[in-house]
Amino acid sequence: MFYQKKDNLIYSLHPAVMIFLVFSFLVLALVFSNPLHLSALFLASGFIIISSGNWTGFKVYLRYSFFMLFIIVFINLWFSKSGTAIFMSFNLGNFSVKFTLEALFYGFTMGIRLLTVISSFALWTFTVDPDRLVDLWARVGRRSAVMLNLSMRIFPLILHDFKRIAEIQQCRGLDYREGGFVDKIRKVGMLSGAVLASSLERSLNMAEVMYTRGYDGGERSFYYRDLWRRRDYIILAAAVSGLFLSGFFLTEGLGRYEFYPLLNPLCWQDFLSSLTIFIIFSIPAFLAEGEKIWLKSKSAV
Amino acid sequence: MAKIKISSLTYTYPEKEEPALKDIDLEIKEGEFVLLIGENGSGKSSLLRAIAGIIPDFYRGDYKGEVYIDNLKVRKMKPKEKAGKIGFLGQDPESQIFMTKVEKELVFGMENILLPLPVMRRRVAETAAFLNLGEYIHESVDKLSGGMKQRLALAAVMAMQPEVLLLDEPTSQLDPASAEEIFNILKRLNEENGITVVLAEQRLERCLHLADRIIVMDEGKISYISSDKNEWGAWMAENKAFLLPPLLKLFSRLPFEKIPFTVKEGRSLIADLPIKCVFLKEMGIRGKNACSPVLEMDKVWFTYSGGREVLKNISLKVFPGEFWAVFGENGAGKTTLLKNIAGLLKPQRGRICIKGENIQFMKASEIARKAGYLPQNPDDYLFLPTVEEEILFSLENTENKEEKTSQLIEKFNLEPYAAVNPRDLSMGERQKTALASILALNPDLLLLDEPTRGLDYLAKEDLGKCLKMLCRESKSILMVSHDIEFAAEYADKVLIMFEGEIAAAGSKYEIMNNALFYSPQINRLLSGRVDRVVTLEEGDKVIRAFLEDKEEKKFSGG
Repeated sequence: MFYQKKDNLIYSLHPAVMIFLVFSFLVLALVFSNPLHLSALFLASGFIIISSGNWTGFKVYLRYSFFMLFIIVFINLWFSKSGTAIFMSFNLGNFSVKFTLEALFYGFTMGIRLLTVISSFALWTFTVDPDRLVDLWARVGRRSAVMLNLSMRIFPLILHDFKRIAEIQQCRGLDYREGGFVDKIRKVGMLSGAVLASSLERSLNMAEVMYTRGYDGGERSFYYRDLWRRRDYIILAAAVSGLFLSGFFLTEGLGRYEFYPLLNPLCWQDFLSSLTIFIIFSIPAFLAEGEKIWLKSKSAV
Repeated sequence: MAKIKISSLTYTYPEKEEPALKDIDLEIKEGEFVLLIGENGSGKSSLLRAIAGIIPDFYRGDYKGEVYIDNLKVRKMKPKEKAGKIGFLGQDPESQIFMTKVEKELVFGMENILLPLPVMRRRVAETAAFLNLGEYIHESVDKLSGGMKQRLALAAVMAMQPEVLLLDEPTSQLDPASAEEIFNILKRLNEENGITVVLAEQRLERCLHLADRIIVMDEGKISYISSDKNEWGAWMAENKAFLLPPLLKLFSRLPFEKIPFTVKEGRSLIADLPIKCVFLKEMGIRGKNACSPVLEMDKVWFTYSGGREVLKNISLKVFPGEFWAVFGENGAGKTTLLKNIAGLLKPQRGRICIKGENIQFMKASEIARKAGYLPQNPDDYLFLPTVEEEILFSLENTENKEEKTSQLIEKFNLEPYAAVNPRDLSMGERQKTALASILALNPDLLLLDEPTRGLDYLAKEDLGKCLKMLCRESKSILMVSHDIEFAAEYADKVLIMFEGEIAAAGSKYEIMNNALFYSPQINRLLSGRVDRVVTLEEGDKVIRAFLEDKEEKKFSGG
């Protein structure tokens, strides 16, 4: 459910490439309205996640996402009055309820869009190293990058302090998990005071040591270590051409879909263009799978 | 030319009346290894901070006099300039690491002083190799042990290639093995790289022999300074005997011309003495096993939720008035053992009884009335604004709580601090405040987790006496510690844990005698000559007997 480095091609990609890839998925998920194109994006992002070795974590995302998809379809069916192809109707008291095929299909397509957006975020969470991201950010915002790094270091320490102090205070009858709501709040307040005092002491010590390491909030040099490999150029080129092709498809009327008043028929161009989108955006996954099969390519690509 | 020169330095912290440093004049030569000695609060840390320029730049306050590095005024130097010349390492490893990854931590300081990339790359490679951090270079710092974190902090300082290294009790939070490692690195840096080292330290037994010069501080002043090793021991014995480690303390009491700094030197001093059979009363054996135990653990197993099995088949009995010391490497299960007894963790198998009552379904707060648990850091226990309130809180819902609080404050000599915030007290006094709060519940068993960590010898002696007094009142103590000297002096029994199991348990005379690692200095001094000698008093008796025998033989012509 979070970033854990694994030994495969996806994890070796330059963070800028991963950011661009995820950004492309998100933009296209919002631009396309054709269920075939949205499905192509969802499948491609899923394929990359699975290739990166995160199927188990992805299943958890999918479980919640499919539940959300069901809710969207259900709500749209009940509340959308548009559409002409009625496949079910009944009376509920004084109300006449009609379920249309268009509303069902629209809800389903919006659900796929949501799936694609969630998969894009999952891809980000699983494969983008927050540290490397901060390093990348440090090239433009040096001071804020140090602060971000410090927060990433201190926040878990504070949580650890809270856990440790709360555990020990159980011996003094101060168990924040027990009692009514007000009592719990009072106990958490008392514990937080102790945690805050420890954190302040540590912050002062840290500030002192930062000073001795020459940190004055001013200019810093940059220790840049992210290498650009062939794979990065290939994937970046694929993502850029995917974006351009999508733009071209959209200008040609592909990728858009009219649900109301009647569902548009899907043509062979829709199938072909969505297949193209799937193949282009699945290139990282193809490369990762290829690397697993032909290990020799590890440094070649 | 002096590398560091301090002239007429007097410094007072903001909102304080008494100066922390008083009229300090000092010169330190290039490549010297200087050891700063003194009680807690004697001004050692303030002096290091003044050399590093943290005082007055960071703290402000009233500053008179001047500190120079290579004839440059430290006060006039920019932080980047200072960082390139002076490296500073403090006590707590957690407070000295700012980044989430080992490699990023190594480069943090170098980035600050604007080193170019090729230089940084070379230095990362060199420092990682020198301090054996190569295999951890891409690891998250959270995965490192305390000792490794301190080594990383030292590496991050060394990567900046300072000419002067200032260290403020860098091993006080570490186990003996990690502390030894840090001292070995310091020795190498000083001897092989010629780095000037100024070290403030309490564990003199580990570093006194490394120093070229000692500086003793007292109430903000330099009370003694000497580079004549033959003089140090005699002066310390006469003026600061309580700061001495057991070996030096022992020889300072005896009629020897020289005071040794290492066990090896001590053994050579007594090598010519004839061996005499000396009968010692072993203080730890009290024959109380006839009473029912305070604590009884029967085949206890504990596994953390991640699947790590930490306690394996632990069976142990602790009787009234017994003082047990628990030793073991980090991760051996010592703290987990205490937490299981305190009810903070529940064993998956086995039985723990305190005074015959099974504690399996009891809450930690109920168990605290039977077994009081003092954590590693007393600050985790203390959260109220005054010492008095801390003790009163423990006595909530009991009768005569004010009277009982006064009694405890008096018993632990905390009267001057009753209205003081515990966080403003010294580590020793905080430890005593937490102990008094625990004892307010009148438990029969005390569970202490590294209570001597961060204490100077005086505070340790004070704590040791308190604990012995409690044992005389039939309280039992189970103390996890890395402090072998403290345990040898005050404990009765020793338990060694290894990979979650009890590797050895018994009288300290059995376990510590001739042990490779868990033997005190006095025992190592007499190893091979007299067995089962572990305390200072015993060592004193034995060597005096040797000396008497030598005198007798001299007069009888034998």
